[in-house]
Amino acid sequence: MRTQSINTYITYALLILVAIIILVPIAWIVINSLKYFKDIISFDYFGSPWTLYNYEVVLLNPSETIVPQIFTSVLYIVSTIAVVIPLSMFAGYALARLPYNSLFRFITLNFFIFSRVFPATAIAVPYFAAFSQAGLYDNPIALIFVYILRGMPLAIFMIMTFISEIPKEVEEAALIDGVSTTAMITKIILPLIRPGLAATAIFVTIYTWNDFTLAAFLAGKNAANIQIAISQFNAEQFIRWGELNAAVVIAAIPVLIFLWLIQKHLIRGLTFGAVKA
Amino acid sequence: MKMENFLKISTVPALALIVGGTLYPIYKLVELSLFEVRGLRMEYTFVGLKNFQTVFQDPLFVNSLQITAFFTITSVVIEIILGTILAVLIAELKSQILQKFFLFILSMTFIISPVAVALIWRFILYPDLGLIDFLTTNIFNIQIRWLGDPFWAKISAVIVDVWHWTSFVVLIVYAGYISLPLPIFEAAQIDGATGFQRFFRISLPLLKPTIAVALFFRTIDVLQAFPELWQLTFGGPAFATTILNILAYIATFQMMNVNYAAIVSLVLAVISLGVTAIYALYLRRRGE
Repeated sequence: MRTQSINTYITYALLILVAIIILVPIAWIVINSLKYFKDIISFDYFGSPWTLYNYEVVLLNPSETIVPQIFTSVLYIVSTIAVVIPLSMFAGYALARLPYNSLFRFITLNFFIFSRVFPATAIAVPYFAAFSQAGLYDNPIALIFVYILRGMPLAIFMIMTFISEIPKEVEEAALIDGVSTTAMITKIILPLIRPGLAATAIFVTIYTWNDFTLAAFLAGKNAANIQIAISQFNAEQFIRWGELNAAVVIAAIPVLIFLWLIQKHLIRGLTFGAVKA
Repeated sequence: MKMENFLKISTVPALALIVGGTLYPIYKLVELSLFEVRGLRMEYTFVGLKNFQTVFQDPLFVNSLQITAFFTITSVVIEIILGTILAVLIAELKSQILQKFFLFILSMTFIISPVAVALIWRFILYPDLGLIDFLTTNIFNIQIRWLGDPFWAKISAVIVDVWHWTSFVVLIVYAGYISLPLPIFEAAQIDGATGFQRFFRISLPLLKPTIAVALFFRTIDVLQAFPELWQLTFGGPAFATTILNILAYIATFQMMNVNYAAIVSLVLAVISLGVTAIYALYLRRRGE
């Protein structure tokens, strides 16, 4: 259409090659999570038996299980969403409806961008020092706090763009009917942006589930999340590849399901609403 | 008027949390860099700029700055070029279903956690049992120590980041490209412009703002990469992949020197804000 006349066969060949480069490493991990260690290291794929042994170790073996850390991650996600979504709903509505030239709006949005750009380590190092001093190192509450802190600007931005897409006439009609502002948000706006809220919650979920940096600095054994748990199977020297691969697969499955659910809103979430598509 | 005040008030809880939660660590960072923290009871003694002197004169820090620069520039340049080409190729596919299919496959890479991506690649690059190591040794007959050689470890780090994040650029440029106005391209086609001419003379200039967004986000995020490299190589061999973030981690947990870590992450924050300022200037010059 726009550029075209690039040879279609070359295009297909290239894109299929890219798909292979993406899918083969992932498939390789899945295959190897279903093999015994001795077959992995002897590079014997066709003759060797398939097994769920690695998954058994990673999920059921009391001394190696990552299930507690999975629950910890779920706790972080649920707590973060419970705080972030309602607060962001109000803030997002306000920022969407304040006049564009409002100084307050300008400063707030720029501060959010600042907090997005500010490195996670530059948050994690000082909080590590502060939490250690306050006896909050390795405390789940400290982690929930930083996840809320990192998730909120993203949530506000996303919700703001969803609300600004609602035609103003909807609200004007409600105002004529004498609806209060609080009722406006909860009774009129909320049902309209429910899919957007779900997408926002999923984004916060993915970020929290995938976080390693903050947990690496602020969590010890007690508050460790799923990413810390899978990294425990890695080492500089001797690595138990079977268990490691099974843990990686377990950590990747939920986010791949979420990816399927939020395809439509991916770009908005990834760019802080900078690109709408 | 009353409405506007209500709107402002309803942002207060969220804002208070974000502003307080972000400004406090900045204050703490400055404090940590000017004081020395000692012992288990963490007693603070004021030392002025001595910590800065220690860090800036440390060859390890200078090494980290160089590696961060190499890693960031190389990865971002490759991701932007490759991502733009792939985005246009996908957008030019006639079948909508195929477009969606390829975009979905691509999105899988960045949705998977950085730790998982690092471990996937650590496995396939690992000597003797990795798929890529197997291919390079047995089929192409070259011995490459992907993770064990300082030079190749840096290259591996770039490969992993490109695999992980090029799709992000694809998605953004794709969204920008499909919203470009068709008539310009039709007119150019009637005037006899070839596909390549249309790409370089029309698409690229029009895509500039979109590519700038992708460039901005990628630069910020590659600068701040941590788990990808930490889990891939643990910063090694011989600190060859110790970017600033890894140095901050090593300083905190291996050198047990939180002052050192604070200065390293402060430097990283300043670099990130510098990149943001450049992007803001670009936006202003374009008149946004």
